Amino acid sequence: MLVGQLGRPVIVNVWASWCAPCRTEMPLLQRAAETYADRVVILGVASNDSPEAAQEFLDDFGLTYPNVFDVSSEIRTELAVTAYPTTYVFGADGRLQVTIAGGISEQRLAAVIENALR
Amino acid sequence: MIDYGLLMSVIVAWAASSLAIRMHQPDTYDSPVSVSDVLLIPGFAGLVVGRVSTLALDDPRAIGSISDLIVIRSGVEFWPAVAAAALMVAWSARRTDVHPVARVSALAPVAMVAYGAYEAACLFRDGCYGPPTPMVLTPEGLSTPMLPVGILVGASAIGAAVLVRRLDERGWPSGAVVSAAVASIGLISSIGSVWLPKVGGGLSRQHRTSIVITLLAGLTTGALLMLDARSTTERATP
Repeated sequence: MLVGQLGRPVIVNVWASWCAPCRTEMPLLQRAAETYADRVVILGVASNDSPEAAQEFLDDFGLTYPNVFDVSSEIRTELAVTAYPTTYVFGADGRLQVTIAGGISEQRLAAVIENALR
Repeated sequence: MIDYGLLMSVIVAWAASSLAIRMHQPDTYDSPVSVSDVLLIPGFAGLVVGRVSTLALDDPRAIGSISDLIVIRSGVEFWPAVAAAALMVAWSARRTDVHPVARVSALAPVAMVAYGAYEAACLFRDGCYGPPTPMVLTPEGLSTPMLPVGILVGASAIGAAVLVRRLDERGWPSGAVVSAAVASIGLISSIGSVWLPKVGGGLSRQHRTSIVITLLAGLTTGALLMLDARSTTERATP
């Protein structure tokens, strides 16, 4: 999925429905997805969760950016997730630029996106 | 998960305000006081009211959830928090001869120093970002130096605290001192918000609120000073 996005920065947000900071940053990520629709890809990864709870969470927020469910925990292992939420910023060249463990503020999200776009 | 950056910022704010109150004891208490004596409970009340306000505005379904409530990094509405803390300080004067507004005005510079120090401690958390600039600060994970708006806001707030203290010493009415303190912090916050990175267009909620508060507090200050000048003239007229 990420390989197909080469040429554009990709923000991967790993979340779980039981995580309170994940809940609070969802509207911010949705706004970022709308604002940077054509220039940045926002991708959510539900991890360490039940598919039903994750789906209910997505329905609650009416998120329109793509979200996938990490059924086998392969993504969590590959990205070495140690905290929920964790946000990974990949540059347009596909390289990991920054990892933000824990909730992300609007300032930091805007700053890392603008930085990735430069 | 404990946010150590936030904790460090609170410690810095606490240390700076402790120093401020040690240098200039408020004259509205019978004996020397410390920050924990006068601002611990108001600060906690402000934190709770500010956090609940944020949840009410952003995610009302989460208000009853303790786990959502305690994640203060996700947002504490600034002005409701300030109002709650000020009300608590005023309430603390109920069994004394001190006027509640006088007590708030005496503590306003200390609270402003605490706020300024908290903002200036932005290096410990995510609050320093400003527009790209050829100098100063390159945040972790970013390649572009950025203007540390948080540090400038903090320094301005501490400067404003000194100014407000001078106004109090010059005999301004307590209400005018309080509204001048609010107006100056609102102005600093409004100007600082112009440079803070944000997602999407338009002004942020705090930015809009700060502009309104600045205007209201500025008008209140002017009105109170005019009333004070008028009553002084009337008293002086035989």
